[in-house]
Amino acid sequence: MIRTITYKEYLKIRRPFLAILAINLVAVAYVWLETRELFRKEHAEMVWYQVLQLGRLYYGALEYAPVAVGVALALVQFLPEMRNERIRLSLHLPVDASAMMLAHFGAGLAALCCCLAVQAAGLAWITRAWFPAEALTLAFGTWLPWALAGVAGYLGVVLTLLEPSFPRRLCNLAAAAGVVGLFYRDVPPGVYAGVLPWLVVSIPLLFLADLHPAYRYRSRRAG
Amino acid sequence: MRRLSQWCFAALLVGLLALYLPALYDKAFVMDMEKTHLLYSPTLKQFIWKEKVLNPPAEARAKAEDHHAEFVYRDESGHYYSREEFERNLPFIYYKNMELWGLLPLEIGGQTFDAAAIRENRRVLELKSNAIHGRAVDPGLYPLLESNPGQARLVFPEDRYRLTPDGLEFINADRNEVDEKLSRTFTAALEDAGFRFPARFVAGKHTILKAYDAGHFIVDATGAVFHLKRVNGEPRVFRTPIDPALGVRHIEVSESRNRDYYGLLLTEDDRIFLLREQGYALVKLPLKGYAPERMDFKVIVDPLYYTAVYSDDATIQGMAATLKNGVLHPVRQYTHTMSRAARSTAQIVRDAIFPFSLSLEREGRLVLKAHVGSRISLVGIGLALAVLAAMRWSRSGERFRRFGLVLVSGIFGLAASAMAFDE
Repeated sequence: MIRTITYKEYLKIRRPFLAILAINLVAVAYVWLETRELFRKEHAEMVWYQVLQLGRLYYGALEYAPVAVGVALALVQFLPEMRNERIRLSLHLPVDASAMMLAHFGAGLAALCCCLAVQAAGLAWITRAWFPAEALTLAFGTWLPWALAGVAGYLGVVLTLLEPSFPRRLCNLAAAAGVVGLFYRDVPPGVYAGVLPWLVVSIPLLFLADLHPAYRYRSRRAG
Repeated sequence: MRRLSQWCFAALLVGLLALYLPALYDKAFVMDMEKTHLLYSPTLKQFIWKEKVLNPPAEARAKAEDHHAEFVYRDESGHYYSREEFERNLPFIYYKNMELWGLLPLEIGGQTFDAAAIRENRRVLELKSNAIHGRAVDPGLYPLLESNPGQARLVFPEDRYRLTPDGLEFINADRNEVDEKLSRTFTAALEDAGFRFPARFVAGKHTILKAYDAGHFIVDATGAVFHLKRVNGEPRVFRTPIDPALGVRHIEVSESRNRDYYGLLLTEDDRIFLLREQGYALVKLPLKGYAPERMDFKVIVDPLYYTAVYSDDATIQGMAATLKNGVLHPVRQYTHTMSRAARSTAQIVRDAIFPFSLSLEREGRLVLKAHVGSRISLVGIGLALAVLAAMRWSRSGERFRRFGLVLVSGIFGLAASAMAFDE
């Protein structure tokens, strides 16, 4: 049954997913163009100075890409389910509701990971083409919080959409925004390294918290 | 699984509320006070400061020349000053104003100082706690500038170097490739001077916006400090006489036109020195209670005194000294509890409402800090429990869980339990 549900999710999101994946490729191509332009305008040593010492972001186009992808995938996956309460049918199938919902989340997160992998591979390739290995550490130290914001964005929208009560939905949206906000502090590149192991704890908590509104939905709690 | 999801949701909400609610409260009700500016006055022969206070006394208000009465100017004896009086008592700091007011040249202790003499003998060296080696983000690639550029302006070289276990490795920026020849040349020059790899760290000011280039200081595996420069494209290495047993922890290089000091040198046991250009001599700053991990440090040099000022979040300390035969002799020390350390009513109410709070703070890198409230937080927890007790219950199990959560997290737990432990 779980395999069938996963296949159903695959069928549902495959076309939008391919479109989102294509947008990610465009974003990576844009970063490549931006980086090339930097080196065309300035001497390489000045670009290295701007990037390594001053913290200039040649990959700034990727800052909100993960969270946009996360939110888009969650909407694509769960908005149709919420229309006419279709998800209620799934929630009353003869299968464990938790396993069934986790299969839904797993399918969405797998799609998100594919998009993030495209971004990560593109960023690594572009960085190593123009910069030494140290710049890669710095770039990923900056991009990783954005990627986690993408995961939080996906899980946060799921938490919001699955909630049957409108006032609680607003509260869940605020909580989701709070988790995403953890990864968007206005700080120079590389400073997240020490705190990331603490902040990442919010992701599994949010993942399991997503089951809570699903249970409420199944029990028809709108208060 | 349902119970687990409830607890995860509750834990997440408590964490988020503890992070965001107190920050929002502070923004709305708590005044963020800047640190006090503490300086040594060569005319008063005591410390004098400027700071913001919430309720300026009548004496300070009487001295306010404009509407900024909350900024008070005061000295150790308790006298308040107007802004202009304050600046007149710090003639070496505000010498440009002194010149405009026609008060230069001035005479202090039988010596006469004009604007040029003051300008030539002024120097400020700083070491922020966040900048100490190991705390700040270090990309690990260093530009060794040409110290003899043959032109007015310094330029970046087309390479950077990294430290490897057995040498320096230069990477050419144009080709993004290791320059084997340059790496061998510089590594050999260091080894010839007695450098033992692997290096501990590199210190330098990695900018071209400075008076000249002093090169880099590199600490070797034994703790010996080497001075590396690139002169006409060739390595120039000096083994400094700095004792490796000092345990050099950080060198804050700060090139100045005066060519007097390379910068500040910090040791493992929190002693701080001025590093002279002449013979790499160390001038110890005789400080009491300096804790580099939590204190920003500054030394202001003027024609008469060396004034060290260092502060944490609540206390600022000053030490004025005179330099004789390469040794600093303290003439005055002062410790001042800053106005920002006083707890306002808003902060007491904050403690009552929030039993603890979390914050993301910059200490070089970003750190997650937990601040625990005071005894007054029990009032908030009691109120939250009372609200909980007044609620209606359909299942006793819910009541038990909610009470537990509110007992440890007060208002955060009350809000989180309402969301997560719905009956």
